[in-house]
Amino acid sequence: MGRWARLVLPRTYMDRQRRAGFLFVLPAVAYFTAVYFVPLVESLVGSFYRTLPGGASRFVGLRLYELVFTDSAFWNSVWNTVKLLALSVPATVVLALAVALGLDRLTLRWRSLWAAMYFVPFAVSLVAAALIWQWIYDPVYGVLNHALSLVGLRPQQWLQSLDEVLPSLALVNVWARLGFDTMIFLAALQAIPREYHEAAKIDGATARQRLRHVTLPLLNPHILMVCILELIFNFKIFDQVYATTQGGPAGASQTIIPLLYDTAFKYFRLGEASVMAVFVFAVLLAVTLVQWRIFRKPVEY
Amino acid sequence: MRRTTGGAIAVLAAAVLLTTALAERTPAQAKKLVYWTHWEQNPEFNRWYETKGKEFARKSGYEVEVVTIPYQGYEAKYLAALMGKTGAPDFFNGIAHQWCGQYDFCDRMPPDLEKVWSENLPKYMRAWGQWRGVTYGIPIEHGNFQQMYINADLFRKAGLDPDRPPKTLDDWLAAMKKLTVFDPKGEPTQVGFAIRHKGHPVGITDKFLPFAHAFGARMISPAQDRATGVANSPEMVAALRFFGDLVTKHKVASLAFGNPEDAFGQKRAAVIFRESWYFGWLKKNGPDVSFRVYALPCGTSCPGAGNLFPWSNLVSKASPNKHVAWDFLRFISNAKDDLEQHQLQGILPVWAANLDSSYVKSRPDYASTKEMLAQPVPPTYYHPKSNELATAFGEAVVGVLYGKGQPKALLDEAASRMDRILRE
Amino acid sequence: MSRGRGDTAERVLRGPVLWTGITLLTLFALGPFLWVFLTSLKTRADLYATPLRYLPVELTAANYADAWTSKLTPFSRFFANSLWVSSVTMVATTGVSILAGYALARFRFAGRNALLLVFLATQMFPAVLLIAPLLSQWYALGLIDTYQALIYSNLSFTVPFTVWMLVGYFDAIPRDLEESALIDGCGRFGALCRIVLPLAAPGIAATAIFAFVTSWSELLFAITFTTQTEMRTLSAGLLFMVGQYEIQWGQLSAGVMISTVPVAVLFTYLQRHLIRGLSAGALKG
Repeated sequence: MGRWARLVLPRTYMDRQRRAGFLFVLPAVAYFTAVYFVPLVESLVGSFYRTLPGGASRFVGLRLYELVFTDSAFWNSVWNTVKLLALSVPATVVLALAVALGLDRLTLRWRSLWAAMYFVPFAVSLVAAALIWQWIYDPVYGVLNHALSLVGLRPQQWLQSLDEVLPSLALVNVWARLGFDTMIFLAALQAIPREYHEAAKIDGATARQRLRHVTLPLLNPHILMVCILELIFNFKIFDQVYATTQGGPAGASQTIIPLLYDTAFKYFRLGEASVMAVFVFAVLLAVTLVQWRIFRKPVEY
Repeated sequence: MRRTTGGAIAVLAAAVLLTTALAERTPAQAKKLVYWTHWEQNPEFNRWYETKGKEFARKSGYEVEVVTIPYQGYEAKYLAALMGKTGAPDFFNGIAHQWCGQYDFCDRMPPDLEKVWSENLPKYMRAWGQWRGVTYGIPIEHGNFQQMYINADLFRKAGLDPDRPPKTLDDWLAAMKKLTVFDPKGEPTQVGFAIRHKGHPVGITDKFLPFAHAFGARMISPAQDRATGVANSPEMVAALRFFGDLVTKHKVASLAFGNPEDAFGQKRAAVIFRESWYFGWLKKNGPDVSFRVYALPCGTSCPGAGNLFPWSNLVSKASPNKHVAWDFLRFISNAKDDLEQHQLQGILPVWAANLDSSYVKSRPDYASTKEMLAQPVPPTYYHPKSNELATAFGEAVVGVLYGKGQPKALLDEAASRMDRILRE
Repeated sequence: MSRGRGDTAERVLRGPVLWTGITLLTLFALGPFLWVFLTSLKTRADLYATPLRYLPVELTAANYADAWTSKLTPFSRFFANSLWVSSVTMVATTGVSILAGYALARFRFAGRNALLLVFLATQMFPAVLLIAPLLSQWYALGLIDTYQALIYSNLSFTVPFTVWMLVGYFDAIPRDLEESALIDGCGRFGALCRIVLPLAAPGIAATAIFAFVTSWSELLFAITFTTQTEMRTLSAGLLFMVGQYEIQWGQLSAGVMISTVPVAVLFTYLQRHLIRGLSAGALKG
């Protein structure tokens, strides 16, 4: 009681501190509660209820969890999502790192110019990105198949092929995210004090040794962070699939969020959709907690 | 220190002010009925309701406002609005077995109106607005079954007579083979049949069903309680094998071609199966294609006039204006208005008597429409979960087209999925 | 300095290898744009020509004119909608998250860590599922087909992330500067405005851009919370150009260009701020 009273009528310096803190955070928290937390809890609760005709709902306990987790279509979508992750996350991170290391060697003027160019795809909305690439992938009028024919290769089906659809979508993701990741790495590289490299040089370290023993260890937290951001991004892929393949052909690109969307809004199974959302949340939260562990350790240069 | 509080309060107040200033509701307007439709492809048809609403307003005081909901994700919007009671339309274009069956959003049709429509609808359409024997809706589209569009020039070039279309599936397949042209590398540059192979599985099921029905197969049992033994019956397996062979064995249809509508419009495919709206589309997007419309070819039975999406006008049960909405529908329930509205958009009217109007007779699909309507009515699947069932089934169809597996195995899997959906 | 093997390797890397790599990657990054740009200038005949034509034989601006003025997909209107929604989202996000970020960075109070974690965890929850509850909320408040519904919804995912980024940024600013301002009689708010904000400008710019771009690109809310054509944003408009039956690639490409170029220009201009902001903010939370 006393604590709350002192929040309203502060007596000491510390009280005022506390009150100021509360007041500053209040708008964000109030807002967050209204548009995020309440809906979120509603859907968590919804995962235990089944909607009946007429809009009423009935408590069914864990029945919907059982239904979803024994559904082959659900696991197919999880598996597709994992495959997509495996295809695009390492590629994006490695490529971004390489680009950042390359750009870091350039003089400031060139660096800004190139960096700006790589960053452009990030400015494209994901729908637009997906549509751009769909046109490039077009089996008949697409420029990619044309390019293949110039070097004597057979045309491919890209988004319309069981085996190529996920790699094709992964490439779109790499394209869309490369610039963003490069920026983070580039910024981190520039924050490394020059003296470190100078010192290593004086000690006779080669460029490769300096990269391995100085640069990469210092970049480590950034690499992890980018990996995790990419993980989240790819796990939650929706716009690209929805705008182009709609999960096809034959479910080969059905990832988890588009399936969730269909379940909720095409088949009207809100309860099952909530179960899937809880699953996604749990998986990604686990990942975040790992990240939290790692990044709480401050990076000292 | 006091400034801390002051500053924070100022920001908060500003935020609240901004919010309330922005949140001004739209001012209340004259009394009106709100109609929702997702038929974005038929703007003239939709606008007609507003025109007619002005006339209706003179006697009732209510105008009609048409809101076109984009087809992508329209279900979500309907659901939220109808559940939320506020912001819901007074009447809307929807499917009775979904909105009245799976959900209980619809008002029962007044008996007098029910009588008018049951006397004036073509026989095959009577079940459209119904769920479990109760009538809720008025069917609004007639030509919503596929017919065969052929490119007359390509037929002639292949040595076929465009005036004597193939009547049986065997003849049809033979014609398709003649109509397919390969390049030296063995890739087709022109195909016989424009096949739908991408997009949502529901659409794929829709385009495959005429073949299934021609083989005498059906998707779920007549009592709508099971799929095993039905969706994977020997007839269905044969139908799907035939369909898949078009692509994999005979190569008279190609997955390398994009949308079937485009392929036909660009004269890269000689035949397409589409509904009555297609010839309007074709006139706009492929004006130089000389085409004919015929009834679909038959196998052991004929595909007939069937469809997956029986669109009807439904009245919202929760609407305070539902009686006015019925009044309006009563106001336009006559042969003249029916013809006027459909003619405006170039689609087929629903009133049976209008099927012999000079407008319909002048259409290129008049004879074929007559012919298909005379065939027995094919199976219907007006089940609340029809979307989900058609998705599960469609996955098997695409699976075969893309060589994911054999028809039997994929249909077995689909059937057990569908059983699971039906059980729930 | 000794001239070791390392320096030779470095010279090669700095030379041909580096430049070849950079050129190839630039092609990858910008090629698709170039292609879409060319497509947007082509007539229908050029688009579907076989063999493929790289350059439009007949230059046309019709695709842009059509997209901009089309009745079904009026990009002029979509553009204005996107601009307004994204700008307001950006301003509101920045305001709210500066306060919250500052408080979380400077004050120690109960639940601080939990709050930080919760804000971070929101990134994990699929926004798709917020749709159903939010949709009925907006219906109940009569906000469907209004800018507010989009803005409020966009804030739900921008605010947590920007708060989280800004905490890191404020943490990095030495406290001594504020302490002296506080002693000089400034309030907390005054100290924030006069001392901290100018120092944190790059970080704030980065978060602002982040908010702008995410709402510019946002699709799910935009297609669900609007019904009328006049209320659609660019992303939603693009999606609706993908008709049920065919895609008008010429017009669509023009639409893509219209929706991309402004943000791309903004980015290029603010890029250096963004780099610094991203690095400092995101990490040290």
